[in-house]
Amino acid sequence: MARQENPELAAVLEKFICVRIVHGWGLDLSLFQFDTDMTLAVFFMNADRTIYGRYGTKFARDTSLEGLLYTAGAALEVHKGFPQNKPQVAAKTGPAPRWKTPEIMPTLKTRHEAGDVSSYGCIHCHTVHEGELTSRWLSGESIPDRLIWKYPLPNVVGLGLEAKDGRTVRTVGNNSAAQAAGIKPGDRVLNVAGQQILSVADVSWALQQAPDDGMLELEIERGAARERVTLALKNGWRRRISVARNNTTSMLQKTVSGFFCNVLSSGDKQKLGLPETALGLRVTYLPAAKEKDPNMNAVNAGIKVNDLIVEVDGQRVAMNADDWLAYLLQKKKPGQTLELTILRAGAEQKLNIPLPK
Amino acid sequence: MTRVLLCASVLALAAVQAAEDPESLRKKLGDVELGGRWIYGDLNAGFAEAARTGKPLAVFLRCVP
Repeated sequence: MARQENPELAAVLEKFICVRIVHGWGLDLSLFQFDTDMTLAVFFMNADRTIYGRYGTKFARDTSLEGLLYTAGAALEVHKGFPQNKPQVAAKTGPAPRWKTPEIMPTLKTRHEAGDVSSYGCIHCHTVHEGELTSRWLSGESIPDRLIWKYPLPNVVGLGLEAKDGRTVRTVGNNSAAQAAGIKPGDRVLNVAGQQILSVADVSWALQQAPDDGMLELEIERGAARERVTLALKNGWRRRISVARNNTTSMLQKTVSGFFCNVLSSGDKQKLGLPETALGLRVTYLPAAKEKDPNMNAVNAGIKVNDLIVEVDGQRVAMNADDWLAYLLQKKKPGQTLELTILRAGAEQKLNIPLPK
Repeated sequence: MTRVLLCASVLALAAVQAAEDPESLRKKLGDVELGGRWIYGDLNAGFAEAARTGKPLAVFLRCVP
C-alpha cells in the first residue's frame, strides 16, 4: 500500500535533510546509540554530527505525531542557536562504543559473513544489542545493570512526562526519586545532567548515562521560576521496571542457557503445591536440530519442554524473569555449568547444562 | 488520531539490501507517493547535503515489526 505523508509533518520535514537508515549492518554505533527495542528512533543532528535530540522510545505511548512535531520544532530551534549552544547538546553523543558497527561484534560477525539476515534483508535493531551483550558475556566481561536495564524511561525515577513534549511532568510516582527531589506535576523539565531536553527519549538517554549509584541534576521550570533539583539514584534503581519482555532480553536468555522458560505464576505454584517463595521456571522452548542453533547444550543435556526447574545451582529461591536473566548474565560465566533440578512427571531429577564458551 | 503509526506514513523502515536503487526501494517500502526528500540508507550523502544546504538532519531508524 502506498504511504501518504501527513501534510503538517511534511511541512516540518522540508526544513531537514531526511535520511532513512534501512540496513542494520554497518550502522555507526558511535553515533546511533539508542534503545534497540524501540519501535521508532529519530535522531535530529547537525552536519558536523552533533546530536540535537532523539525521538522515540520502546513504548508506543511515547510516540505521537504531535510529539514528533514538537521535537522536530525544538531541534530546529537548537539548530538556529548552533554552535553557540553546543555545550548544551554535546553530551547527547555517547561514549565510544565497544564495537563501532554490529558486524564486527564477535557473535554477529559469523552471521554477517554468512550473509545471514533476520528479516527483509536486514538484521533487526534488537539484534544489535543482543549481539553486544552476548559478545561481552562470551568474552568474560562483567555485565553491568546499565546494559541489561537499558534506556530507563522517566517513570523509573518517578517522572510521568507528557508524550507531546517530553518535558511537562504529568505525574510523580510515590516514594520515587522524583518525589524525594520535590518535583511536582506541572513542572517542566528543561535540562537533565546539563543536557537540553527535547523529548522523552532525551530524558531516557540522560538516564542511561546516569550513575548506578549517585546524583543526577535536573533543571526544572515551575511557573516563571527555574530551579535545580537533584535525584538521588540508589544502587539497583534501574531495576524498577522489568525488561524481561523485551525482544533483546528474551533472546539473551536462550543464547546463554540454550532454552526459553517462563516464570511460574502464583496461581500455578498454588496448583502444584509450591510455596510462593519457591523457584519455578517452566521450560517453554528448545531449539530444534534443523535450526542449527549455536547453543544446543540444553537439548543435548536432556532437558525437555514443560520441564519445571525448581532448583538452580543449589538455590530454590523464587526468581522473576529479570532475576533469571541477571543470574545468567551477571552470575554465570562462559564454560561454567548450570546445575538444575527439574520436576518431570512428578519426580525430581538433576541436569547439568554446560554454558557456551 | 494523532498517535502515530507514525506518521504513518513516512516511516516504514524496512530493510533492504543497501545497494538497491532508490526507486525500487521506495516501491518495496510502499513509499511511492512520498515526496523525493528521503535519502535512503546513505548517511554520508545526508551529511554532505546538510553541509551544503545548512539544514539540520533528521535520521529515521525503524525496526521491522
